[in-house]
Amino acid sequence: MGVFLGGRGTASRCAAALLVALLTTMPVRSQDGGYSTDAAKAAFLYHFGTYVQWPRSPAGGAPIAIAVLGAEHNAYLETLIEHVRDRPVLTVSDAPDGLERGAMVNFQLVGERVRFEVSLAAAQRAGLVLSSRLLASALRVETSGCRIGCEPEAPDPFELAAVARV
Amino acid sequence: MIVGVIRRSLRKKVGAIVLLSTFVALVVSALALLSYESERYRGFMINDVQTQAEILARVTAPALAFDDRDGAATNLRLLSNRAGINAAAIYTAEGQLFASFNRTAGFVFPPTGAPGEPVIAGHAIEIFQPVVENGELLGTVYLRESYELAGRLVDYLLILGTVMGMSLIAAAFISYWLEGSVTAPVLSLTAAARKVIDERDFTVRARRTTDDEIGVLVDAFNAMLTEVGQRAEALEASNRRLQRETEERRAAEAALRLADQRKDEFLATLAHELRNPLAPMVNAMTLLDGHGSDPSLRERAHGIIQRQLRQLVRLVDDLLDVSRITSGKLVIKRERVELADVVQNAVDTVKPLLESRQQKLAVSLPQQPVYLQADPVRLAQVFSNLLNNAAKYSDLGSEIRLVASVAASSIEVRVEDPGMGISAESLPMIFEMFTQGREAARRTETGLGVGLALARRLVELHDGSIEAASEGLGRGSTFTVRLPVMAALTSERAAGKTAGVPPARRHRILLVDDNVDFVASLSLLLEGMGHDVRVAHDAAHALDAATEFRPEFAFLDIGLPDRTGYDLARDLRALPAGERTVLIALSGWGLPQDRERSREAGFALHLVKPVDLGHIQAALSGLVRRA
Repeated sequence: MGVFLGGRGTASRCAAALLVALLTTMPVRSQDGGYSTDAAKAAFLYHFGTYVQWPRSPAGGAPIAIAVLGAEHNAYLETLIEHVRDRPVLTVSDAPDGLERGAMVNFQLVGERVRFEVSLAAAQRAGLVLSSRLLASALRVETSGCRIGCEPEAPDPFELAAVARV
Repeated sequence: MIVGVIRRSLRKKVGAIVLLSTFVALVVSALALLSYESERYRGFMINDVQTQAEILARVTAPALAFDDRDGAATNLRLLSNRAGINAAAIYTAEGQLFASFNRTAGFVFPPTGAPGEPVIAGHAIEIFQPVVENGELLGTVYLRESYELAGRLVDYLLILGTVMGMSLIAAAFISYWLEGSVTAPVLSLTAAARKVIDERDFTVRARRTTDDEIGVLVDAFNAMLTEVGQRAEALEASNRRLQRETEERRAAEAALRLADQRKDEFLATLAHELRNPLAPMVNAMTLLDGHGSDPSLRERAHGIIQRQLRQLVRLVDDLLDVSRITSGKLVIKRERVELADVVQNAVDTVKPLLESRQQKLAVSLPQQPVYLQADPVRLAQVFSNLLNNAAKYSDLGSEIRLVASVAASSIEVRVEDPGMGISAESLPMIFEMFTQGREAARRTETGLGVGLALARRLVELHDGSIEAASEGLGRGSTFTVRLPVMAALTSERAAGKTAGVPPARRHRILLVDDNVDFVASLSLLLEGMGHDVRVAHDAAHALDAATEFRPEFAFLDIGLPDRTGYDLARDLRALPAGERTVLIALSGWGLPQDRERSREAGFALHLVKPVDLGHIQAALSGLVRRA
């Protein structure tokens, strides 16, 4: 299960499919008031784009497209992600092991509330820079990707902050 | 009272000015500082709360976007580290309180307000800041910060008060210093001015110590003092001159008054003196009328009349001399004379007086004859005056001395008497006109008081000098005449010879008149008196007789048959034999112009017919000297 967020027309359908998949896996809450996890996830998806620094587009000024795939596609999550891994596409999954399977952002439920976790390594691989402000609200930030020098035991302030909050 | 003190003292004035200006400057600057500070504080606070709100809004945006209450709370908690922030809150877009932080007890968060400028309310400033991300309103941030303007102002006032106190102390020191540099020159100038006023001392000068306006004032003050001093001095000098002139005028006035008084006294004396001889003469005339045949009575009567007449003649002569002296017409005719002759003439003149007072005269002359260039008649008058005085002011029977001695080129003649003397006060004035010693004035025979004045004038005309000396009242007096000597001494003469009064001198007399009876009777009369007489009845015979006879006296009738007596007089004068003849006019006319004509023609005397024998005798005795 994943979410594509991208500025490319070719990727639009894929992303939409992911979102649909995601929505179907969410426990459906009553429509009458109260907290709706689906609405929250939709709002989150919408807001994620704000905190991502997208690479420069050659065409310029292209709109951001959001593709949502249904939960039934979760089994092909790695394949889907592998397919867009070298493109400026923010992949959002809604699966317990979303980050391990390659997603950049993954929804988690903490109590009744929707939270999310972030994999900086995955985003980096795609050439996306995630805002520190986004990271401040994340439940967990994964920085396992070794970029320079590789000191795996170096504590990540964002991760620490996120852990402390949990 | 303080204002009064300040008004009177420049020093306190300067001090007050310095302190007051310092105080005003401090107050104004304090007010400006406070107002600036409060404005700045307000601006700072507004800016601060806005900035804080903006930061909070931006930081909080993701928390609102991702419904992260813990994150929002964490952000708010970070703010609590700031001391000024009392309360903060985050509202959702729907206006629900999302997260909050409160330090003030009992504070209730307001419902979300309209976003906008910060609002200051009491001791707090609060702001509602919208949280917008990507054009979407995510919520509102509320911040409330304490706004302690009053406290800050109090702190500032304390600081300013301290500064003001120290400044005023500094100002006091400055004013003390100013007193030295500004008021000291003024005070010294004031002291100088006060000294000038108190002591009237214009030599005081103020010392110039500065080059400023006060220095200029000091210079002007000193220049003014110099000017005033000069004026005062000029005024004083003028006053002194005026005073001196006043004194001189007063002295002159006194002298004039004294002269006037003397003239009055002189007139009184004159009247008295002129009248004195008249009574004895009238008596004598009465005697003659009644007992004309008795020879002894006749003799006595003649003697009386002669003496009194002599006195009258002397008085009148003195009067004439007085007028000559006062009008400056007194002149002398110099010729070569021998001192002995002059002295003899003088002695002859005073002989009657000496006899009447039974006084002796001792005359002592140098052995050699002494010649002088002098007017013999006038010089004889000098000595006769001195002798006359000596006789007059000495007791009956006393001895008078006349001593002449030669010294170098001058002759000194002293007349000494043992008489009443002259007081020391009278001595300096004895030669003044109309002056007589007070004691002398009591005597009967006083005279007119012109004798010595005349003597001095005459001696001076002879280039000589005269002085009086006396050891005091009752101790006699000495008059000394000094005259220049003309030539060397010749022929021997007995020194210290004491001459008695010589017998009446015999004279050669020429009588000229066409009235034969008159001439004959007069001739008999004169011959009877022992004189040698020649008679002529006209001018021609008169001239012949004169040439041969060399008369000492010539009595000429004015109305002669061949010519007038005036012409004859001039002709006689022209003769060698007539040079020294004393001419006496006999005329029927006695008017002043007739006498004047006689005088002009050279007559010594003008007698009016019928002529009294006494007049002729007086003329012969030398009492009558000039017409």
